[in-house]
Amino acid sequence: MSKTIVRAISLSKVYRRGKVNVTALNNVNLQVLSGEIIGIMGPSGSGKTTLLNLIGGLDKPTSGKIFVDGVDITALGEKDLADYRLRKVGFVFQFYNLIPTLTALENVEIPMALAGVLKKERRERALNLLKMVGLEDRADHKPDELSGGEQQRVAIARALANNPSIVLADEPTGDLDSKSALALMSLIKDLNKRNGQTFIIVTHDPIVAERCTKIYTIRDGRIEMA
Amino acid sequence: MFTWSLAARNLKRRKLRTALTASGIVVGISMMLILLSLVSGMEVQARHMVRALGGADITVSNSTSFRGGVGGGGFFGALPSPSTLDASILDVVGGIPGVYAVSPQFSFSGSINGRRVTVYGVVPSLYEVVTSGLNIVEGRFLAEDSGGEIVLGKALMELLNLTLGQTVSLSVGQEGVERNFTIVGVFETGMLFQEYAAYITLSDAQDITGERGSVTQILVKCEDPSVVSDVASIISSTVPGVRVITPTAVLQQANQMLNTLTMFFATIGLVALFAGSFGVINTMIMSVTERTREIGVLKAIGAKSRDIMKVFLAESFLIGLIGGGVGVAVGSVLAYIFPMLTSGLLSTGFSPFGMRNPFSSGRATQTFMFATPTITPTNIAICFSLGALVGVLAGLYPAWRASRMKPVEALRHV
Repeated sequence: MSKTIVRAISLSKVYRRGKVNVTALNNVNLQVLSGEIIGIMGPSGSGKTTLLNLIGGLDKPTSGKIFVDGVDITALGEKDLADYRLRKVGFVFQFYNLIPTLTALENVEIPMALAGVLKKERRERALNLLKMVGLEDRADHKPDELSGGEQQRVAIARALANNPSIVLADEPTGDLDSKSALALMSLIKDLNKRNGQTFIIVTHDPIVAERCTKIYTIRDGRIEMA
Repeated sequence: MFTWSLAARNLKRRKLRTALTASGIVVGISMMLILLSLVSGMEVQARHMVRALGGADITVSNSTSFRGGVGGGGFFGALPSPSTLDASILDVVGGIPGVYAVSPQFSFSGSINGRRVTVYGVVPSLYEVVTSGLNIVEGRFLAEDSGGEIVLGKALMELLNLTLGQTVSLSVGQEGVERNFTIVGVFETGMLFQEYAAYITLSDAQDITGERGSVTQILVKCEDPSVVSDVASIISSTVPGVRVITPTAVLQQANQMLNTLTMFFATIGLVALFAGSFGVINTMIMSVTERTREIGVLKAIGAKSRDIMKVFLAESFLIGLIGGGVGVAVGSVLAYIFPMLTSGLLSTGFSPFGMRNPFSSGRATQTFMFATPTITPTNIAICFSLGALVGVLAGLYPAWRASRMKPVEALRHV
C-alpha cells in the first residue's frame, strides 16, 4: 500500500475582488497517495488552478492545512516555501514558461543552479533529463526554436531537475495538438512508472483524463471524486 | 551561475535600449574622467613649477613689487623689473640662525636681439649652492667672475634661432644701453615660459642697469627643511620692507586650490552621473515589468527573493560596467584631444615671458588652468568603479520590486 504524500484538510481560499469576496475553494479535503497520477477537472473558474497553486506552495489558503510528506506547508515562511518549491515539487505550466533567453539545457539547469548543484554535475544531469524526454539533440536550442510539444517536454525536464516527489501540471496539453498531447502523456506515464513520481494534473483534456489513475472534479469550489 | 548569463543575455536581447541606458552613464563617467585628469594634470604642472621656482627654500624680495620706468615691462614681453633691495640686507639675512647660504639675484626686463626676456644676474657659485643649479642641457653654467657670458633657455634659443658660442646683444630700457654677451650654456626646465629667460653674472646685471650695490631678490637655503617656515617668519619680522616667499607654502596653497577644484569638478561629474542613473532606474523598472511572468516562473520553480534580486542587480551592474568602461574610453580620448582643442587659447599664454614666481601672475595662472589632462590609473579606477557603483545603486529599487512580487500574481501577468 502506497503512503499518503499530500493531504489537504478543509482547505478554503477566498479572494477579494474589489469589494466582493470570491470563494475559489470551499472546504476541500484531498488525499493523494505516492505514485498516483491525479487528474483534476472542472469548468474554468472552478478553483482547479487555485488548488494546484496551494499544493505547490505558490499561494496560501485562507483556512485549512496542507501536509506534504507530513510537513504542514501552510505554516512555512517565505524562504522555506521557496525551498519547498525548489526541492519537493516541480511545476509544468500550460504555456511552458521557459526562460526565452536561455537554451533548453540551461532552462533545465536553473532549478539545480538555484539548489547549488555544481556546474559540471548539473550539465550532466540536465543532459540526461533532456535525453529522458527525447530532446538531447535540441539541448542548445532556444525556446523560440522549439515546437510547442518540444517546449513542454523541456518544461517537464525542468520540473524534474531536482528530482521532486510531486509534479504539478496546469493544463500541460492545453496548448498542444492531440499528437503532442498523447506523446506528453505517455512520457508522464513512463516517468511515473520509472521514478515513482506523483503527478497532479489540472486538465480539460480527455487524452489526459483517460491516462490518470484517479480523477477529481471541482465545481463551485467543492471537490468530488469523479 | 545562471544569474550572470540571464542578466547578460537580457541586455544583449535589447541592445539599443542597453546602449542608450549605458550612454547616460558614459556621459557622466567620461566627464568625470576628463575633469579628474585635468586636476591631475594641474597637479603635475604645479609640482613642475615649484621645482622650477629655483629650489631655493625662501625668496626675499622688496615688498613693493615693481620699479616704475626701468625696463618698462610690456604686456607681451617680460615682467616689469622688480624693485631693488640694498645688498646689505644680504648679510642680515645670512646671519639669521638656520640659514645655510644666501644668493643675491638681480632680475630685470631686457631684450635679446630685440626680444623681451627676463634676465637674472646671479653669483654662479652661490646660485648653485642655494638652488642646486639650472638644468644645463648644452654647454655649461656661467663661470665665476666671468663677465660677458650668458646662459639662455632652450625655448629662447630655438625662438631666436641661436647656437652655442654665438654672440647676442642684450639691451635695457628705452635709452638702449646695450652690451654683447657670448652664449656659453643652454638650460631647460620643461616649462616653456620659464625658458624665455637669460642668466648673466650679478656684476654684469648691475653694470648694465646701473644699479650697483642693489639686488632684487635674495635666495635663501636653510640648514634643514623643517626650519624653513621659522626662518621665513624671522626674516619678515626683522628685515623691514621685504616680501618673503616659500615655495613649499606656494605648493601647499596650490594643493589647497587643487583640492577645491577636485571637489568642484567631482560635484559636476556626480550630478551628471546622478542624471544618468535615472535612465538606469527607468530601464530596470521597465525590464522588471516586462519580465513579471519570468519572475513568477523563477519563483515557482524555487527561486528565493534573494535570487531574483541578484538577477536584476547583476543586470544593472552590467549596465554600469558597460557605461563605466565606455565612459573611461571616451573620456580618455577626449582628454587626449583636449589640449588640441585649447591650443588656440594657449598660444597667447605661451608668448615669451619669463618669471620666477608663476603664482603671482594672472597670465601664469591661465597657463596653469589649461593644464594638459593627465590620465592616471587611479582616475581610471575611480571612474570605472563609480560607473559600476551607480549601476548597482540604480538597480536596487527595481530589483527590490522584482523580488517582492507574489509568484501567483506574477504568473497571471501576460
